[in-house]
Parts: sequence; C-alpha cells; structure tokens
Amino acid sequence: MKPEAKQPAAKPTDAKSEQERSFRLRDDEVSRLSLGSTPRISLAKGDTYTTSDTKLADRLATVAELEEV
Amino acid sequence: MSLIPANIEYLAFAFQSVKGTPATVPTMACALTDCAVEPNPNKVRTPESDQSAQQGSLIVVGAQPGGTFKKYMRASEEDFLLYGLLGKNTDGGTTPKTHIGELDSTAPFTTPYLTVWDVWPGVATVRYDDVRIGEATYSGQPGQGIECDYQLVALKATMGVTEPVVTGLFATENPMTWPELTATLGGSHPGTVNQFSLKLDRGTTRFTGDNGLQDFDAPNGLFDVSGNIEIAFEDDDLLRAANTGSTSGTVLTTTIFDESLVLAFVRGSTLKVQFSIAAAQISNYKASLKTDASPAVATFDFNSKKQATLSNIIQTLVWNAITHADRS
Repeated sequence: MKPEAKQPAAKPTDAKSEQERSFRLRDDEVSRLSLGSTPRISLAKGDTYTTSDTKLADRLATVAELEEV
Repeated sequence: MSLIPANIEYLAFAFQSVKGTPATVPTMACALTDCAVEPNPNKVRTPESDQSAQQGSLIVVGAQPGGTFKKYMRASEEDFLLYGLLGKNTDGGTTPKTHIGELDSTAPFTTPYLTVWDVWPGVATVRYDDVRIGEATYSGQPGQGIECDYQLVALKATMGVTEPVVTGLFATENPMTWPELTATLGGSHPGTVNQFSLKLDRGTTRFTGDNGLQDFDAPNGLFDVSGNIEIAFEDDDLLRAANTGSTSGTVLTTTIFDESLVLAFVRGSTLKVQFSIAAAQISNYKASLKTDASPAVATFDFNSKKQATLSNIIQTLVWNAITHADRS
C-alpha cells in the first residue's frame, strides 16, 4: 500500500512582514487627515496611503478616521 | 546702509515631510506683536587659574535655537499652528472649512516638524529647521484683541538664507476680539467671564546627543492643559465646588469638581476658533475684596482632567476659508 503523499504544511496567515498595507479615509465628509509622525502622513479624500512598515500599519489600523483597503 | 523700521519682522512656516529635511518654501506667514526666536548658541566662561587678572575664556558648548513669539488670534492662522501643537488634524466642511485639532490617540507624543523663517524683509532671514511647537498660551480680557503666545523648539538655525516669497500667505481678517468670545461652563453661558488664559503645554524638551551643535531631537513630554478664569462673584456655587467637590457641598472632601469648558471665538458663520475641554477641574477659587465697591469678581485655576479618550482632554475647532490646515 502506497503511503499517502505528505501535504505541504499550511503557511501561517499572519506571516506578512514584507507585505504592503493600504489605508484610505473612511468618511466622505473628511477632506484630509494629517498626523504628526515622521515621515508626516497627510492623506486626502480619495487617496490611498500605503506602507510596508508593519508597526506603522498596525498603528494606522487603529486611527478612527482611516479604513484599511 | 539706512535705518529700517522696527515693525517689519514676520515669521513664515511650513510643515516638513520628514525630520532632517527642511521645507523649501513657506505655506503660512503671520504678523507678530513680539518675537524672541533666536539661534541661541550657548556660551559659558571657563574659570580657571590665571595670573593675568582676566576672566576665563568664553567657549561655545551647544545651541538651543528657538524661542517665543506673540501674535493676535486669527482663525486663518490658528488651524495651522494648532495642528503643529496637537499632532492630529481633520479637515472637512465647505463653507466654512472646518479643522479639528486633537492629540493623535495612536501616537500621542508625536507632533509634526516645521521649518520656520524669521524674516526682516530686505535685511535678514534666519531659517529654523526641525521645529516643534512646544507650548501655546491664549489670553484675553475686555477691551483687547485675543493674544497668542507660542514657544518654538528648533534643532538647527541657518542665517543668511534667501528671503522667502510670502505673497498670499498672510491672513487678511482682523484679529479675534474679546466681544467675540463666548465662555460656556458646565453647558451654561453665564456671560460673566471677564478674563481668561489657556495654556496647552507639550512638555517639549531637548535630547542633545553627540551631533555637534545640533540637538538630536526635541521630544514631547507630558501634555498639560491648564488656565485661569476671572468671573463675577454672584453666588457660592463654584466656591463650594472648588473646595468640596460639589456646588452644594458644605464640607471638604476628596472629590475634585469638574465641568465642561468651552471657549469659542466666533465671527459670523465663517470664522471661529474654539477650545473644548470635556472636564475642567477647578481649584484655587478666590473672591477678592475691593474697597472701591466695584463688582466682586473671583478667579480660579482649571486643568483638564486625565481622560481615557484623548480628544476629551482638549479638542479645537477652527472655521476659515482654507481647505487644509497643513496648507497642502
């Protein structure tokens, strides 16, 4: 009886340290959001802010005026 | 060379994209009532034994560029400066344009860096890089325009730079005035506030490091919102509140009284500068005797209560005709 072929190990779904994450303004009433970080973030309505900095992305994910896309 | 009038100095500002890279052109300029922003190289004497009867030599041991400047309050300027002080700004609205300033709850210690030009037109221009607005004090009393006092902490000063072009960067409206103030305490407008001061302090310090005459950074410390109000002494509600924790209290307690405080400077439907404190703790309430029998007034100090939601510490709202507070 042939042994079953081993299935490849499932990749962890959160191992995305190099992946870019993008954010945009959540509310159509807001025309621009400006923050105090360096580099300074100033995001206009309709624009998308993209970063590969995991810590920055995690922080932006908690900003009430932003939604991740 | 000829004499120049001493009232021509102005400051021009721009937000930097990143620390270490100055902006190339200013995006806002303002008239001043006083200016003490200087390159400030630090010099000390070197006292040591000497048979020549002379003082020790002067040596340069560091530099602390920056200082304070005073101006009148204008809605078309304060949106820019309040974003620089608080660190987060949200633009919206059509007419008027609205600008909400507050701490960034996701990074409460961070504020943007500015480039500031100190200009005596035709004579001298000094550019300050990596500037943080460390403190702002707003004050007013009857019969006066509303005054603003800002503190700048800069990392670098460069003299002899090209004078910037500031066409169209000055606000054109008149300063805010005392009659345009409405002070609301605990949701009520008593109409008896006669003087105020409000200080927003970022606790900005310097970290020197080993980088020659340029400090490594100007980090913000603990944020404090405090002030003082003079109000007519008509009843003992606030006297009791400040001492007992309740407007109806009779004995001293460990409770600290607080109520909402809103200072709104409004001109029509297009210009406004408003400071909202969700819970202002009141202390040092003192009613003063006056032997000339003029109306009795009391003064008290207030400070913003520590809050779980940082926008409740203080939130500013500015109306003007400018689309974005950062002038982008």
